[in-house]
Amino acid sequence: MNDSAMLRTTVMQKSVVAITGLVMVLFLIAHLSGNLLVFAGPDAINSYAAGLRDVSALLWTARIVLLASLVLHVYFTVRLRQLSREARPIQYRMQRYEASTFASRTMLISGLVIFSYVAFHLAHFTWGKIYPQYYAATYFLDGRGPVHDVYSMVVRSFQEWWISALYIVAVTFVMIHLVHATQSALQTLGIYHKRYVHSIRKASIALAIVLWVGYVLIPLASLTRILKPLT
Amino acid sequence: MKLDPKIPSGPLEEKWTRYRSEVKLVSPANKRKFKVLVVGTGLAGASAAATLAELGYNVHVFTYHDSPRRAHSIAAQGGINAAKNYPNDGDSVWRLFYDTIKGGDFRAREANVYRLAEVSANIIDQCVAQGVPFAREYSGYLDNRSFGGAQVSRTFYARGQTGQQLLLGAYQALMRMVDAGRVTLWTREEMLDLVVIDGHAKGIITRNLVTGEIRRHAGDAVLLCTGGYSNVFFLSTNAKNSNVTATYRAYKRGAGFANPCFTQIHPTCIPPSGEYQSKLTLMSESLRNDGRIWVPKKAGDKRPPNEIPEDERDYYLERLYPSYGNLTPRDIASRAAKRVCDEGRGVGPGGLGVYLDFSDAIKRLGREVIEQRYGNLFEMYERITGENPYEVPMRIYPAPHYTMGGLWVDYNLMSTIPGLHVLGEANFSDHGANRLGASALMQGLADGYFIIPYTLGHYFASYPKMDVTTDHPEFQRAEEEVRARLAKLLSIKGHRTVMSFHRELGKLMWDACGMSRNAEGLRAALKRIPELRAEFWENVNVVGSGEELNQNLEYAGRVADYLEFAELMCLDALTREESCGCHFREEYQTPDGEALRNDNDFAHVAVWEYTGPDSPPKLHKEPLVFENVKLTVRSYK
Amino acid sequence: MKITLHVWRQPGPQAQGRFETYTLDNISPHMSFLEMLDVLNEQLVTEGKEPVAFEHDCREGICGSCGMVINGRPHGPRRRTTACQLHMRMFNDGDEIWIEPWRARAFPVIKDLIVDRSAFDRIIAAGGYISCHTGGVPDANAIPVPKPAADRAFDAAACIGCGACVAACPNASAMLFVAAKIAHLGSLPQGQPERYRRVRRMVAQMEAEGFGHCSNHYECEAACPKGISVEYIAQLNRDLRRAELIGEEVMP
Repeated sequence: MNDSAMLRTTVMQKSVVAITGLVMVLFLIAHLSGNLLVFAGPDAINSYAAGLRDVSALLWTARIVLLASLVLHVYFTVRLRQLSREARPIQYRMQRYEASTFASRTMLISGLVIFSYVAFHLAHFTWGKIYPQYYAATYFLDGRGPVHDVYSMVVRSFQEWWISALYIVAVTFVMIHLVHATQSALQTLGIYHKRYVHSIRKASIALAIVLWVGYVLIPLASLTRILKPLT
Repeated sequence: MKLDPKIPSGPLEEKWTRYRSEVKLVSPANKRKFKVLVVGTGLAGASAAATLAELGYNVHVFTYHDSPRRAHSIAAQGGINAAKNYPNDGDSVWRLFYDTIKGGDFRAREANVYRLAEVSANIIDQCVAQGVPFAREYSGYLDNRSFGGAQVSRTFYARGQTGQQLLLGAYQALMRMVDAGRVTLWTREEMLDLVVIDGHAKGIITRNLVTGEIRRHAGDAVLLCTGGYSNVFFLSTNAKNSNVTATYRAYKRGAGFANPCFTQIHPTCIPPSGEYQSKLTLMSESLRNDGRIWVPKKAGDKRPPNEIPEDERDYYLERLYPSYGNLTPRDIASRAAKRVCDEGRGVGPGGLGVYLDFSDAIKRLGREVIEQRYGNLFEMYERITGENPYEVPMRIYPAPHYTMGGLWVDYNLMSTIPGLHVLGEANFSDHGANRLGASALMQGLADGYFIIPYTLGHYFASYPKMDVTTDHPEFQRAEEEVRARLAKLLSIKGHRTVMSFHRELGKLMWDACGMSRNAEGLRAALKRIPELRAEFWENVNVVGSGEELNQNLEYAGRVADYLEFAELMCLDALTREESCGCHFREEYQTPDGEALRNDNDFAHVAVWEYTGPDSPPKLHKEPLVFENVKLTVRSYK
Repeated sequence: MKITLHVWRQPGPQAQGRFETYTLDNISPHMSFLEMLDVLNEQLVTEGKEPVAFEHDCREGICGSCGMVINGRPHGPRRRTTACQLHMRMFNDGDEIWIEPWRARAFPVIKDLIVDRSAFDRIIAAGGYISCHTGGVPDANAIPVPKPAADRAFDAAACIGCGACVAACPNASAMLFVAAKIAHLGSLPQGQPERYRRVRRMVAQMEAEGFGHCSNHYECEAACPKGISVEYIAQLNRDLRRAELIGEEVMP
């Protein structure tokens, strides 16, 4: 990827990271909203999933935007990190932090963990490569006929303890990433006002926690048999 | 040595205008052929360098700091005076002129001071255009406040950091010219000698402070903007590196040194806390509006202040100066504090301090009001002393702050060496025997932005251009002398540190040539200083080498110059047999302890000429002629 | 007080550095940190050893010369305080104190605790000014500046250029320093004509100097002895984006 003149500065590169990051945050919110339909029963989530496939043009646009965001996000982050590593060739013997957080200092690591997990997650639920037997299930939707049984796939998969464990770990990394990410992206985009900045920083952390709770509920409910697969 | 002040003819009000119309000019195409060496990057140096570069001169700037922005102008707090009359309270160029000349106890040149007052308004315009964030009213217009020695509000300020903001403005203007390739910036480059060829200043010798390299720089003129010499006292409000070397070296090359004994002692500084003390910090004088100054009546009273009952306290300023009380002028307040401490009644470590007590004001006005007025100062005090001034009285003590003395200059700011111009605190300046608050910034910027750009061109146009190269034998000689001196300093390897000599000299000068002086003390100092200097050259220990960054060596060179310069100061103080402004000779006072000026014999500038290492300097006098103001006596009873 | 110092000693820019340990007895809690180093240096000179090189000048917190990382914090443990205004009463009897120079590629060590900060000057030279000639400017009151704008400009202009922001930043980024000047001049009407040109040029120079990027750790703000806010970095981000996307013309 070549630097266009506009993106030659780290500040502009960081803007790309911020915008693509925010796109993915929006996706996480949308994705969770959809996923939570699992608690509304097989009808709800399966018809939602089928509906998504009906508007395939939209779906593919979203997928392309997401993929592009992911690639740009990772590319620029890794590059910038490399640059900053060079900016301090000799480390301090002793360094005490006052304002930065565990989350802010581990963005690259948490990001790369999430990135690898996403590949696994896609292989599992989108391409059906991990438990093909769960992926193959179908469901008869009233007024429509047989559709892909997302409900059973999700619940059965999560009843495999290691799938759930991996998922919870990954979602925890997402949370850690987001604790710093959202407000940082807004700061990078220049959204700052003395009066609101503290609320924005708190809201950013709250969002990370809410998303974590939401995402974790599904494997927990599956493991504890609150959600049961269709027989 | 001929002292021709070159004051333009005509009425006072028209001198500068007439000068500017008649001054000789250098054509734009020729300006770049003139190389100007500017030493120092404070207000005077940075503003001069930026302006001369804009005009088209080839400017080289030297600073011993890592950046031009570090110069000590940055530490000025209060503000800058200008005869703008924005508050409509009756200010005028004349009033600013009169206040300044009177504040200086009639020991400054009328024409120079008038010109200073005239250009003061331009300085504010210039700084605002540069983006200096002066204090504003809600209307969006500039705010003014009043300051000592004036009955009008003419002081412009940027919180308590006016000097910083003005210097950053000048520094940025300078860096713009560096970027444009019109200024060559030499940082960490200290001037160690002046090169004079055929009677004209034609270059300098510098030492690069990182590599130790000795360099020769040739130019068509040299501008010294190197500040004052308060550090001769060791403890002062000056920055640690401020020194007299540049001006003293110029003096040794033939520039007359004017009024070296005129040094200002500021009354409200945080006192030294122990033998290790390295410098003194100024606290705004405004504190005296609400604080009451006192010491115990009994000498050696070691009780904490709150345990000393009211009738055992001596509010000495209120007692001695009932009508002005705690608001007596700087010199009076400083001397009174010294007197009570000399009597053994001083408080705090070493007995060097008096109380500045806010408890009455807090009782009367409430803590909140005091906090609003002085909160930042109280915090600064707490930071340094660890004491809470809301609960225990502050301790203050006078400290050397500014030097009115400096190299003699004529109306063109040119010294007795043609081509050597001196700007800002480094020259003997427009402040006479005492400088008013908020006038130092004004003078530095006036010299740099608005005066030297005219007068330097006049110098260039007045003499045939003489091109010299650094191969000239005078450069060779000067460089060899610099090298020999450095080598000597490094070779002594004695037993005393440089700082111990500086401390001893400082103590000596403070006692003999500080807030009050007398013939006996000055004579004793004049005997002791050469002894101390001799010991220095035999017993100082300078470690390291000259071919590297060596702060110890830099310091040694500066202290060596102070050890010579101190003698000149004492000699000047001894010779000036009168009290005026900050120069208080105990023998010359009224029965109630006020300064007794002698206008018949001493209404002149004392200018000293160097005559060699073993012969005393020669005194020349520039008579001060007052055609426009009447000489009066100040009284504060 | 008795304290043990571990001081970074490095004879020159190319030389290998290492920590040297010194013990000082009889340190008064009223001493400033730099006065404590004076005591150490007097002791070293008396022993014929090279004193520790450190930069300092005004010793009242305004010139920006001093700067060293003290126990992992630029300028030491006290907030909004330069090393010269730090006092030994912030430490305890028997403390061990680690002293290191600023660490950044753009601030190479010259000797011991002295680093070369000329990168800052070059950034200012690239555009940190309003290009007005001496003289030829309007009357000072011809341009009213709203008080909040003047106050904001002052807050940003309070930067002393010490480099603590770079030293504290995990990425060794100079964004706070650059942003302070952008915000100072960009908050004033006088600064508008060059606003977008200025931000482009200053940022370009900053990047050329080899500082790291900003990832919003806010360590700079916490370490800044003058309390300069990261708010100004947000402004820099906005101004630069606008300049890059739209151009340098002043927008209505």
